[in-house]
Amino acid sequence: MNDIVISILSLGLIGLGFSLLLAFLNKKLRVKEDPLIEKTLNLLPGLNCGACGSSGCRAFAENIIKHKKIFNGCLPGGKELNETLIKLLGIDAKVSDHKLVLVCHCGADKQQKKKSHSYQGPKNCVAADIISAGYDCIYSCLGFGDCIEVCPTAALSLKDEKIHIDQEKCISCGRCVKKCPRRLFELTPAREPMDSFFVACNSKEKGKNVTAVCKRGCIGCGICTRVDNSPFYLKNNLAYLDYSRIEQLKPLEEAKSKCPTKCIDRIVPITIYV
Amino acid sequence: MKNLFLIFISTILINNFVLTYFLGICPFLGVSGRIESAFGMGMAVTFVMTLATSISWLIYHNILTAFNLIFLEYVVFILVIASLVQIVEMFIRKFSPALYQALGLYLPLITTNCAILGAALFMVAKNYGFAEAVTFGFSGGLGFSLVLLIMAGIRQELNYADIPQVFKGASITLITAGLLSLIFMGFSGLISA
Amino acid sequence: MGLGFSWGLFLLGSIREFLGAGTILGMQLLPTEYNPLVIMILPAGAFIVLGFLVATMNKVEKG
Repeated sequence: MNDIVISILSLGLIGLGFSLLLAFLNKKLRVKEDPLIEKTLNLLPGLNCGACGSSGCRAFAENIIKHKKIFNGCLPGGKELNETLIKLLGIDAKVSDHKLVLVCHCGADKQQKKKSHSYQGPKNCVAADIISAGYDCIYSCLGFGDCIEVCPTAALSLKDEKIHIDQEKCISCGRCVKKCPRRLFELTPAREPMDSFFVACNSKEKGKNVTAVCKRGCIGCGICTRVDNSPFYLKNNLAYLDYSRIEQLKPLEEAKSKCPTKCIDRIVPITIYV
Repeated sequence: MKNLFLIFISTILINNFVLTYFLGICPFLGVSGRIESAFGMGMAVTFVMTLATSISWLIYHNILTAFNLIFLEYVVFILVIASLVQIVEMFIRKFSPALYQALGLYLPLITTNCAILGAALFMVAKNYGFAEAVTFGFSGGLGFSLVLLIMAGIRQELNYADIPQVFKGASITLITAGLLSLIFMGFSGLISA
Repeated sequence: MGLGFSWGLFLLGSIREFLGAGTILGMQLLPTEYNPLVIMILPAGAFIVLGFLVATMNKVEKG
């Protein structure tokens, strides 16, 4: 009997001591959470893609509530979500109607790219780029698919050893842009009703050296820069497109048809905001 | 002093909690994916283990043996460990939300981590004094952190290695853990008798 | 869940016992000249066998 009483008492006292300590610390170390964060979080798509610049949807919600600014907005959310967020949190901002279209500046497929060596190392782009393995052209796509792994919506794929972008799935988050070790991706602005044009080459070599390793590479001839009202310009034996100078469709179509290596490409962007 | 040093070395290398006794496998396999979270987890476990062994020793020798209540051993130890883990979680949530998110579910799982209860029970079985018990807890936690960091480093390297498809993920991690355990067996000749 | 756990343990245990001592449930199956793989009895062997079991299950599921 004595045993039972003493055990109940001692266990009870130890338990009581710890519970008091925990209750006290709970008051002191309380983390106050804003219910608005939960509400905002429920509106967001939950992809944690990082396109907004924050590390995930929860961080984005916390940031826009704390700073009362929408920064770059939520890209996968689209126009309606960003407008809802602006109204809900009373932020002073506007939603634009431009979409960023992803392009890859290496458009050569298996038949066009030359490969004269065999690479036996780890099969990822970052590792292969260290020794410039893969294809003969040292500016080309390496073809191991680091970008495919990092894309949150599986919009990228390799078809015939050329990168193919599913514009319907792409949310322009920019992860592939950061991941590619040769910086082949670019997010270009597109405005309806014009399609997105781009130069499908990244090689800064002179024309002769380019044709030695690739059938589609840009040889820096400059024909595209000499059409009327051309938005193209040449730099380091490579043609670039200045998107701020695009006004009409005609010079772009003309440059595309006149390119000797058929290096200028055209994609139809999808889901432009209305 | 020499005794304390012996306990320190033997608990970290020879009788390592994870690789010799195989206690605490759950956070070992769960949190060792990245070095930052492995380090945070290791520090949390070290803290809890040190305090758990000290407080458990005090309660055991001053209350349980004094009043003949040794049968309450398990209950009291679990109570102490659970409260300590709750306190650690509150601290981490307040002062380092990033670590709190990184550890996730594995932080409260330190409570049922058999390594900590094991440390408390071993200390009782080996009849340690107070200083020895504290050293035992502290070095147990350090040994745990050491193995966790090694595992995290290896796993981060494995991400870039050419592993056959069937072995990717849990399989290669388990095989690595087994090999690590074999490696640590080599330390058993460190202290003779 | 308990049954699955028991089956997993049984499988793991039988492989380790068979390779590590030549017996299953106490019955000596391999001749006494068999030099047992001591690693199977050690806990390290348990990890390695478990790793291979997981790989086998991956192969079975993927086909």
